[in-house]
This record gives sequence, structure tokens and C-alpha cells, in this order.
Amino acid sequence: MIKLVSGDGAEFEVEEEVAFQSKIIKDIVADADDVIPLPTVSSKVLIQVIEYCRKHAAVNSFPLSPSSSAAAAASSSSSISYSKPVSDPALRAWDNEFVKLNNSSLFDIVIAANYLDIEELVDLVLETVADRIKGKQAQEIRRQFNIENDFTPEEEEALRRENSWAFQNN
Amino acid sequence: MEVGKENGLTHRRGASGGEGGCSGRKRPRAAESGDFFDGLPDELVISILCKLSASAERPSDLIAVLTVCKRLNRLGLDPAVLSKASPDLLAVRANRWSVSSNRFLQRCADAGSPEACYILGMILFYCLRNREVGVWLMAMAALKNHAAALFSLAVIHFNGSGKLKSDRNPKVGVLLCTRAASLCYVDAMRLLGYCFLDGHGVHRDVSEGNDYLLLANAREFSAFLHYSPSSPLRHTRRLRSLSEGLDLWRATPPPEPHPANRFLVEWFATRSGDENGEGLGTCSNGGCGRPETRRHEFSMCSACGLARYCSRACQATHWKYSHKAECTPINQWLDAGIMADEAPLEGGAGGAELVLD
Repeated sequence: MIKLVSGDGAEFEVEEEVAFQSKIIKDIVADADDVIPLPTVSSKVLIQVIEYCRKHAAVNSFPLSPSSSAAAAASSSSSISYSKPVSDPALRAWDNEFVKLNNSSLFDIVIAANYLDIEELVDLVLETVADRIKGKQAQEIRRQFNIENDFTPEEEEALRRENSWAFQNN
Repeated sequence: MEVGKENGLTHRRGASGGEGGCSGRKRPRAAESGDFFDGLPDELVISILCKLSASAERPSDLIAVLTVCKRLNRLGLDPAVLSKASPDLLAVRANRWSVSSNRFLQRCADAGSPEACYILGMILFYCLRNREVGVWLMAMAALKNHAAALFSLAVIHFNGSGKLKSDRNPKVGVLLCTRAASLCYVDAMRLLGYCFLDGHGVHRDVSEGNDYLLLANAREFSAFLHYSPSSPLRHTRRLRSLSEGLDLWRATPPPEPHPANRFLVEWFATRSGDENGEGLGTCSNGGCGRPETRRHEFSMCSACGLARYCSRACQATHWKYSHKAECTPINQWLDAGIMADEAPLEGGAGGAELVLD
């Protein structure tokens, strides 16, 4: 077991394979029973990150989940065989549920995941943020992410003229 | 360059964000009420914008972000972001073509986006008649294995577009088509099939030609089954037989044209390619939009002598989706004309001449 200590002093004991979803932890852990302080990660965020790592460690430790191995067995009877499924659909569905969080929590998680170097989690959250930006007007994006408009009125007018071609009849 | 000007300004946020691979690791978490993006280093914001750029469904998906704040304007125009541009992000409409839209496509092309090179290349070559730069840009895209660019260059070589009739070079056309066909580009497989059947630019080989035509159909059908919005596989109902699937496929309208083709279609719908009265027409296949670059460049439908095509691929597509139903062989409407009125005779003769051309 590995002990992770959050910035606010809470301790979390996790199995090695769960903690090793983080490349940084994998690199720094020499022995088991290590205590790893994570001063920049709050316990609230760490709980969510551990939840994600636990799920992915469980799925990754078996090459195929029960549902997809059944599918693989079915498809192996035909001539088509897949070396590796692109992504486990059950895990994808789980991921989609996992990111149903408000923007503030999502950004906290991605900062922690980036710090801990959990590539798949960083990717998942960034993808979610990109989806939340897509199809929105500047004003909506500002409101959604608390962004201050730091353009002068003149700059704004210039931007409006420069980009008017993109906003139109569908 | 109103937008580009922002690049020179020192930014008050995230000044340390871009330096070094791990500079972002020690950043404070986003303040409860502050700008969420403030907590992210530049590299992560760029990753978000790359994903947005690659999956954009319309130009405004990314352009709106450029007008949010200075930092997003700067990072949104990062070459890494622009190089990932999806075809739909670059789908400029012909009625909105301007110095600014041209500049945006150029920026994406400069950033290395093959899509932008292709779309801008097509617009320059066919609409703005800047043949040299247009071909050069399409070649840039082709070097990056952009299948549509390889096919378009093949069409240009087969027709000697932008040059004289004697400059037609079917051998080069076949080479380009072969490359595009190896990337599973259906129009290229079909065009190549006809080249083998006709011995055009390549040694005649009927079985090879038939193989390519079959392959093109199979590929098109498979794309219909897997990606078409009207695909039976998308709905809960199952196909009862292959022939039922084939019937559905035949009854389904053609897929959306590529943004470059849509631009050409819209451009020449409002101003004909024949501005100077040179007697130039556009390809009769509605999803193509390519115009003739000189008189009688395109071949005519040998049955009716009315429809003209940039390539056999467009002819096959047009035949399948509409021309089959509307094509009236010359001799038939000549007969009808003689019975009803003498007038169509002259037009008919003109059509017949074009077929021979």
C-alpha cells in the first residue's frame, strides 16, 4: 500500500497499481509503504482522482472487461479479429459519467492530474472542456469560465470586423 | 492584421506558463471566483484548443474563442492549434470570402494544416485563377497524404486545367490517382478503374479496371453503412439482407460535399465561370463545382451531349444520383424535336459536336 497525503493533511491509502496510474508516483516510489505528500492537491480533488485511478487500474489490469471479452469471443468466430479494442465502451461510459462535474471541479482535477502526470485523465478533462466551449459565443464562454474581457472597445471592434466572416447564415 | 497585433503584447497572465515542460506542475489551483483558465499553463490551454480545432463543426467554434480575451486570442492562433483544423473549421462560405477569411486559411496553411492547404489551393486555383499558387498549395497537402488533394491534382493533370489541351498528362494523373486510391479515396478508385478499362494513361487492363470499380462501390457502401446519418446500422432496426442494404444505399442522397467543393459550387452559382464570355461551364455533378478553365475542357455525356464532367468519377456519381433519370439520348430528343418543332435540331448538332471534342 502507498499512503498519499493531500495538501490539507488527509491521508489516503491506496494499492500500488492504483497509485501507479500516476507516472510521477510510479517514478518516485522506490519501496512500498512510502508516504507521498501532495501539498498542492486538496483532499476533495484527491478523492476524485483516486476514484478515477481505481476504476482505470481495475480495468487495465484485465486486458478486457467481461462484456468486451464476450464480444471478442463472439467476433473471433468470424474472420475479423481485433488486436486491441480502441476503447472499452463500458469504461468510456464510466468516464462520461465521471466528468459530469461543474467547471470549477473539472479545472481542479485537470491541474492535479497534470501535476501527477495521469495522461488519460488530463486528456479526458481537456476533451470535456473543449466540448463545453464548442458552439458557444464569446460572451457565453466568458460567463461559463469567469473570464474577464480585457480587450479595449477599439480592439473589440477590430476583432469583430476581422472575424465577421465566420459568423453568419449557418 | 488586427488579430495578429495581439501577439506582440506582453500578457499579464500565465507569463511563465509556456516555458519548460513541467512549468505547469506547481501552479495554484483555480481561485473560486477567478478565471478558470488562469490556473492552467499555456500548454494545457493549447491542448484544449487543439481538441476544439480538430473537432470543430463550423468556423465560429474556434473563431469565437479568439474574441474572448487576449490570452485565448494568442493561444488560439498558436500554430499547434491551427495545424489541427478540421475541414468544417475551414468551411468558409463563398458569400463571405474576404481578406480576413483568406488570411485565416493562409495562417492555418502556414501552420501546416493539410486541410487548409487543400481548401485554399482549390479556391485559388479555380475561383481566383491563381493557378500556380493553387497547385503549389494542393501539392503541399498531397505531400501530407491528403487524398482529396491527390485526386484534385490528378483531375488537373488529366484535363490540363489552367493550361492548353496539349498539356494534358494522363500518366501523371494515373500516378496521383493510384496514391489517392491507396488511401481509400472512392472517386480516385473509380477514376482509376475507368483509366484501366479505357487504357487512358495506363496499359488497358479490363479485369484491373473492374476490380477498382468494384472496390470503389464496396468502399462507398461500407462508408454508407458506418458513417451515413441515414445508415440502417445507426438505427435499432437490423438489415434483413445485403440487398436490402444496397437498396437503401441506392435510395440515399449523396453525402455532403467537402467544404472545398461546396465553396466552388456556391462561388460559381452566383458568378458563372464564364465571366469573360469564354463559353466555360461547370461540372454537372452538383457536389463538385469545378469549372472549366478553357473551352471544351470537360467531356460531355455521350448519350445526351448536355451534361459535362471534370472526370469519369463525377460522371459516375451524377449518373447514379440523378442523371440516370434525366438523361435523354440525343437521337430521342432529335426525333421528338422533328415531330414537334424544328428548333432543337441546331442545338442537337452542337451537342453532338461537343461529344466528339
